[in-house]
Order: sequence, then C-alpha cells, then structure tokens
Amino acid sequence: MTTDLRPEENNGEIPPARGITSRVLTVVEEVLSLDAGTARPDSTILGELGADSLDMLSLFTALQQEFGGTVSLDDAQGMETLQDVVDYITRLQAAADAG
Amino acid sequence: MQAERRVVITGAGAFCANGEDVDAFWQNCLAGKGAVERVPDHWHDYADLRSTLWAPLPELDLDRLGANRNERSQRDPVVLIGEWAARQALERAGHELVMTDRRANAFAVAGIDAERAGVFVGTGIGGAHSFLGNFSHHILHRASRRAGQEARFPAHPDRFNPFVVSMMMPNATAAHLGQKFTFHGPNLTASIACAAGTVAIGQAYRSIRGGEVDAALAGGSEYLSDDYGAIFHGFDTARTLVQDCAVPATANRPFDEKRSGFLLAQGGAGFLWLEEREAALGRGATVLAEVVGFAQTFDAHNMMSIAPDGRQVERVLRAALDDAGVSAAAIEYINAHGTGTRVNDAVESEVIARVFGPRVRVNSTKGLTGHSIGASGALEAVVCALSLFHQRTHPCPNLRDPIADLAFVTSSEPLEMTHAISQSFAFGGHNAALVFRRHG
Repeated sequence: MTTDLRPEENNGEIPPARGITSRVLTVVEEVLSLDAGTARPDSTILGELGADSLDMLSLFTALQQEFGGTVSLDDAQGMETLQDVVDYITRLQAAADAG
Repeated sequence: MQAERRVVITGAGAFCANGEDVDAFWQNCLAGKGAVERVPDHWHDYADLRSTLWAPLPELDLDRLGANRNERSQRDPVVLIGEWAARQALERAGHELVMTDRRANAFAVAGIDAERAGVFVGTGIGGAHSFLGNFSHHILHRASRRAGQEARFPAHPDRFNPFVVSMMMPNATAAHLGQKFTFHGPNLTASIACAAGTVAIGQAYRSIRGGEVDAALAGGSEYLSDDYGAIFHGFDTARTLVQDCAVPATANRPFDEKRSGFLLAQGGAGFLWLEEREAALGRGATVLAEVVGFAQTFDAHNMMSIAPDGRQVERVLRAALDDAGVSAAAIEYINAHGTGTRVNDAVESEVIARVFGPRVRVNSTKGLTGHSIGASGALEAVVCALSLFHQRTHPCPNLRDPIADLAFVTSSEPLEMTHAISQSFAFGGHNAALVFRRHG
C-alpha cells in the first residue's frame, strides 16, 4: 500500500497511463474478487463487473489506499468503464504532480 | 418425554499474548510461559503512566487467515483475531469450510444446518481501536495541513475510513462471523466487560440446551490497543494495572501477597464450537468436554470494584452448581477470575474457600495471558476444556506467597478431574460462571 502520490518508478514525473491502468485493474480485481486478467479497461463497472454501490465504496477506498490523495466516491458519478476510472486517477496524479 | 439436550465442546481456538493459535497457547500455558513487555515508548509522550507493562499480541498472519483486500481495510483487528480463533474452533472440530461466495469471502460449514447454527460473542469495547484511529484523523488532519509542515502534529491515519461505523460497532465480530460462515441462527453480542466471554458461552449453552439452535460459535474477542495508548491510559488512571518491579516477567502475580494489579493484554480471542451432544457423536466428533452449568448474578455495588462481601460471587457459583446438578464437592478444578488486583483476589479466594473448601485446585490463566477483558472468560473456558480433555492444567505463575490457604496449581502436572468451573467478574458488577464436565 502506498500513500505517496508520486510512484517511485516515475521519479515524480507524470506517471504513464499504462502503469496506472495496470494498478487500477489489479485493485478492481482484488476488491471484487475477480480472476487475474478479468478486468479490462473497457469493462463496464456496474454491468459486466456486477459492482453495487457498496462495492463502489470499497473500490474507491482501495483506490485511495493505492494512489493516495483525495480519491472521492463523489467523483464516480458518470463513470461507466474502468477506463473512466483510469482517466480520473491519471488526472488526479497529474494535478498532484503539477501542484 | 424428550431426552434432555446436552451440550459438548468439539473445537477450540485461541489467539492471545502467549499463543498465536490454540496449540501454542495450550503448550505455553502448560510451560508457564506468559508474555510481559514494556508499553510502546511514545505512549509516555501523551500521559504520565503509572504502569509501564502490558502483554502484547503476536502478529496476526492475515495471509494464513485468508483475509482479502476489503477485509484488511474494512475490519477492526478485534474482528480479524476473532475470526482466526473461531476458524480454528471449527476446523479442529473436523468441519470442512466450503466457499460459497467468493466476493464476500464467505463459507458454508459442511454438514451443518445453517439456520440452526448461532454466534455468541463477548467483547468489552468492540472496535474502539477503529473509532480512536478515525477520531484522530478527524481532529488532526485538517488542522495539521493548515498548520503547515513545520508544525509538529501526532501521526494519524491519512484518510477517514468510510466503513468506520461497521468497524467500531460492538457487534461487528458476531456479524462478521455470521456472514463468514453463513450462520442464520441467533447472532448475539454480550458486552459485559471482563465477563463477556463467559456470558457469551453461557448463552450459547442455553440456546443449544433449550433447542433454539443445534450448534454455535461461542467465545470472546477483544482488541485493547490504539496508536497513542489512550485505552491503556484509561485502565491505568483507574489504578487497576500492575506496577513495575525489578524483574518485569514476575510482575503479573495473581493470588500472591505482592500482587499489584492486572497486566493489561493488547487483546485476545478465544472461541469454542458447541454442539448438541447426539449430533456431535453422530458425526464422529471428538468431544473435548461438556458444558453442564451456567449462571449470572449482579453485585449492584460499584462500577469498578467487586463487592467486598462476595455475596453475589458466592451466589453465582452456587447457582451454576445447581444448574449443573452437582455439589461443590464435585468440583476438582477452578479456573479463577484471578486478575492480580488487591481486591479481586482477596474476595475471590475467600469465596472459593467458603464454597469449595481448601482442597479444590485453583489457577489463574490471566497470570499468563494478561487480562484481555471480553476475551478472557472465553480463553479461560478453552483452558477448562483442554484441562478436562488432557487431565492436566497449567501453573499459577509467579505465585510465591499465596494470600490464602487454597490448593493453587503451582506446576503443570497430571490432575484427575471430572468437573471444572470458570468464573468471571466484570467492571460494572456482573458475575458469571460456567461448569464443565469431562466427557466419556
């Protein structure tokens, strides 16, 4: 678990989306107890992955553990696929890096 | 006329300061091996502590427990150590756990009618650890950011856990166990301080005997630690805790003239798997011991101290004997409450002498585990069951100068016994006692 907004491997640079994608998918698979490789960027969160509102709370709690900062469930409105989550985390990371 | 339903113990589990599982716990008890260490240094930054000793827990192996990511972040330690002890009890009873819901990490217990299985849990303070951690975030996080990096603020969690309500509620352990093992019968929490574990087992015994359920997980779980030692401070400022001495390992000495208070444990968990006897025998289970009696009384005297006349303690023991249908002379072994406080041990030893006379063997498990409050009675019930099964019990540690002319167990030795009693007396004034019988 890390609470550092700047992952070590990126030396503080804006992290590449692909690294974030991999970590988001792993978190999703752990939170929803899915087989490795099941979650894909185009997976729909509520549909294909079958997440309910409490799962979303668990997911965003875990994302905050994973990426630190202020990951908020309030920001989940309108997110349909895991790519939406990846984009959201990427924006947060970039904002944290810039600010 | 329907035959009386009897209640047997077919599995036991433990996690406490002197044992990461029931086997290590039992072996360390027999060896007279306890746990005493200094409290964390930084606790002294927050309070002038009179006591500096406690009994810390071993590290809980969450991989061995099988806890998933959600459980690790959404369960208080009191729940996880409780599950570990409960899981041991089920597995040692010979039950196979079959996963039924991967996302919930939930199991069915093969061969058990889930609607006839209950959960009975004792705890003193439930998830206070989670409450205090989130409280420290609540009051410190924004303030520390406003104050800037130069200001020194105590370390605190970097997030407010959105699951804190379900982590701090006293019934969290019972609810978690009910979900984990998919038991749909009564699911109760007894929050009765130091008697909680004993009462939980007693209620489970009554539930099975009365036909409400056929089997039950029964025990106690407690986690008494927080980042700043506030829980410890609470017990310390009430002047209940053991004082330091030249050799800290000898500080915890129930029933000794030089006793100075109880050794607070970081926590603990003990669970029994109780079954209706015919069902247990029918599936070929090994019976550790039988539960044959239970009673409760209340002092109505003082929130923090046992009534000095011991009348309600005497009454609870006589009522438990009546429930078991045995006389005081039938009891060969007493697992005493035995905290090591001046008042408790004096009153308790007087009542034991009054009810049972000087021949009954007496020991204190708290002398080895420290006092784990809501788990203590459950761990002591585990000791009673194993003592009856193995016909051997553990020594009363550090007892050099006994306060009473009682037959204290001073070494681990074979002990022929048919009946044993475990008794617990709680802050608030609650008294409870269980009677166990050797089976077979």
